[in-house]
Amino acid sequence: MPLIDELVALLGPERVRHHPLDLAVFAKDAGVTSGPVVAAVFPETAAEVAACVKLAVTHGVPIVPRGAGTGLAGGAVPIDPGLLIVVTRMNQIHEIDEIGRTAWVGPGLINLDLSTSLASRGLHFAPDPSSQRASTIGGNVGTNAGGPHCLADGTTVAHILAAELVTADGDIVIVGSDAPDLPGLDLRAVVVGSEGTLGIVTKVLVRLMQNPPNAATLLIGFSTIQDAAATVSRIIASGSIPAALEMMDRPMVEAVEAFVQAGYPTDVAAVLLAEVTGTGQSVADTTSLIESIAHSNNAASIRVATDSAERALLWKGRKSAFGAVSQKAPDYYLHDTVVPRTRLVEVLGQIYEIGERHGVEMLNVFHAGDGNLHPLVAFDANEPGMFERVRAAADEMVRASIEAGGTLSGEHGIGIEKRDLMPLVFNEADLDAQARIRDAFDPQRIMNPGKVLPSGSRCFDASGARL
Amino acid sequence: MNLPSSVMGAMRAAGLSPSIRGFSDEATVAPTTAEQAAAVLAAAAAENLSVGFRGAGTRHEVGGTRTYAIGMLSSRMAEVIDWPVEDLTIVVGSGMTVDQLEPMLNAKGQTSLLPTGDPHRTVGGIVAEGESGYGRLKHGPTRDRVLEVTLATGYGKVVRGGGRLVKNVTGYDLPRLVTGSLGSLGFIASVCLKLWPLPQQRSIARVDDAAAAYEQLYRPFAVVEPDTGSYVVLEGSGEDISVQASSIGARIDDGAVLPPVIGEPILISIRVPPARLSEARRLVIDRQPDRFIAQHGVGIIDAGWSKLALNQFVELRKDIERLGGSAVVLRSSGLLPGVDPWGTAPPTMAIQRRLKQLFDPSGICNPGKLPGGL
Repeated sequence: MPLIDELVALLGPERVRHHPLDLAVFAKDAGVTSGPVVAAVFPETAAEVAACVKLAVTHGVPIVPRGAGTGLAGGAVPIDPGLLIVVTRMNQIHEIDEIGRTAWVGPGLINLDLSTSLASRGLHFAPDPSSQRASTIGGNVGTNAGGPHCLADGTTVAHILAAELVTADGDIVIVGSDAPDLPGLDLRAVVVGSEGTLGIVTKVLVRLMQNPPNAATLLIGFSTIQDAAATVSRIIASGSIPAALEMMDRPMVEAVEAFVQAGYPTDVAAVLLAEVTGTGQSVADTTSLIESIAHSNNAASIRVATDSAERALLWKGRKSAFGAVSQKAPDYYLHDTVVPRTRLVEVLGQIYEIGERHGVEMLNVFHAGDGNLHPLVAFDANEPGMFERVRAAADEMVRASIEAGGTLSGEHGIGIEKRDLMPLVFNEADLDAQARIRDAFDPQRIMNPGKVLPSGSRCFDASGARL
Repeated sequence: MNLPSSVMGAMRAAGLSPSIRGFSDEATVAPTTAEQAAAVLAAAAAENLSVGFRGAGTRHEVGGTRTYAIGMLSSRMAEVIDWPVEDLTIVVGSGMTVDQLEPMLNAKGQTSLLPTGDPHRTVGGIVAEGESGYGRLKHGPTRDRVLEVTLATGYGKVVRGGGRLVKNVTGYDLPRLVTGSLGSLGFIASVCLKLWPLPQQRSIARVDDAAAAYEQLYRPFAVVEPDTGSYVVLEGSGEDISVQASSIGARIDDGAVLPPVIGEPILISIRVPPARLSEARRLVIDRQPDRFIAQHGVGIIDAGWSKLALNQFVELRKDIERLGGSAVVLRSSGLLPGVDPWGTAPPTMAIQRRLKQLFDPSGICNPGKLPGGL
């Protein structure tokens, strides 16, 4: 029986999409790549996922797991005609442990929905990617997603204690545990961030954090990027790591103000958005410390918000950045490099120079506290030759970041987009070791093949089966 | 038994002279570079000779006591390789001890947050075991602070995973996988650690009810309940700490210190879901340990006995596993004969076996240390 017929027999026609219009929708994620889809299926249980995996394996069709499709690196885009296993119907909160501060949730649960539904219990899920209104916990696990509040709390991997995983063999196993330091190798740690190449996560045990009793948000304007970056370094060195330290440059602030009017100053070169959380006294202490550091680094303006409405308004500016860009130009191309915090100013300078040389419009909004840059190029893909220029500029920006001791991705993942840049960061032996991790889970390379690692990553690879 | 000439030759070519002293191994070797370590491992793999990795040797019983053909020491890889102070990261050789590392970091207002109870322990040993210090409740486990690892693998290659950056999702997470792998995948040559700034002040307050204090406080550094009482460890400015302490009706005890490491001949690490800690604590106390230290919110109880009947331990382990946890024998000094150090193996042994096989095809790296005899 053809694969589609078998899938329909398993899930019913409603949960197996293969109409050309559906296939066109699922051929893309939120990035710039697209690929051929055989069908998109919507299982509701781990057993159904396992059955789909076994059918795909039998038919030799590669499997691509997918959440909401908000990824930017092509992780959920097939390379060869593939079966998309979409987890969005597995969106339940199964169990909450308020004492242990954990919850078992489905991978299709939307990130923000989790924190919203926990608000009355005074708990939240810390990773807060800009896509959090749409992206799923399963997708967050796949990319090891970040967000502004990962500065103090770490990216997704620090917030996933265990996961139920359907393996390439169609087995259902639990990696990790709700108890600490499970004996044996920490498979959980490599499953998080593996972009669906090690299996499909069908249930996730998330760590929950207490909502802070007090918070202050500071919006600080600077007349030079250098002063803003120096302030970031001094704050971190001072002994308190704020909950978030975000920076936006003038073009980005202008775009945001035109879009949402959050009250950001548009007459400065950069704004720094800092958030401080904790006990009342510690918030007051750290707020005044940040203010004095900002003053000594020539801050042009400082606004401190402590009530939740004003804090929300300041955050609205930051969180609307990507929406604001889409008002400026029909397309944008976004990178996600990380550099050591002390090299921020230098690399930003190079990024501006690269943008200017290629004649592309650059805007910057980024996680300054952890050196995670998001150089963003706004453009119109219909303009002849434009996309090639944008790609060339982006490529140079990545190389500049790596030359400064940085890396390819801080939170978006590698996917297809950055896969072939991996040799800029890792040598042959390093990539071979990573391919061994993958082969331990999926020796047949049926799970999201062709992602993360460039072809030929396994040295002495006799099988030649690699894409 | 003498080592085969091929192995001796590889050691000499790497500029190393094997010594026959130390531990119970046939010979020991102390490489100064990852490449030397890899060359020795390649030669040993070709001859199927087991290699045991040695830090300070303070926790050599973790995973069971074994003897190996070759002992590989990290003692000559104890230097700072890179320390960009303002980036709050440091790269050190795996042989550096915590009493070398921490005072150096503290002098610049930084800390590794690694466990410092035993000053002789090495960074490599702590990372290989995956042990965390008291600050885990607030700052997370050691595993989340290992940013980059350089590993000499069981197939004799030097590989690097991760990066010297505090945020990084570039490729598979080799550093976290190696953390807690007990040398099963290879010899840890160096690591990059994420550092934290020292708090303005850190103080200890005595409390009556540790579980209640954990519930009420906002992100304390630690809530520790040893056999001598209950304590919370608070960080911040002096004023902030007093406010936090008085919010739970506790007073700062300037004379209090965190409990020292447990020195009893039997040392068991009880690991349970944090919500089950109080139950686990009762189960431990029922077996009358000489000392114990429970960490609320973390779910770990370390307990020490000068002697413990075998059947008592077997029952305790059964009870703890029923709570969804494990009772791991970190040290038994020969007093719990025949006991598996780990207990019931995790359900993912098929994948773990393949990982071990791919990183250590000849099975020479610290064999037998992982659960399931891997």
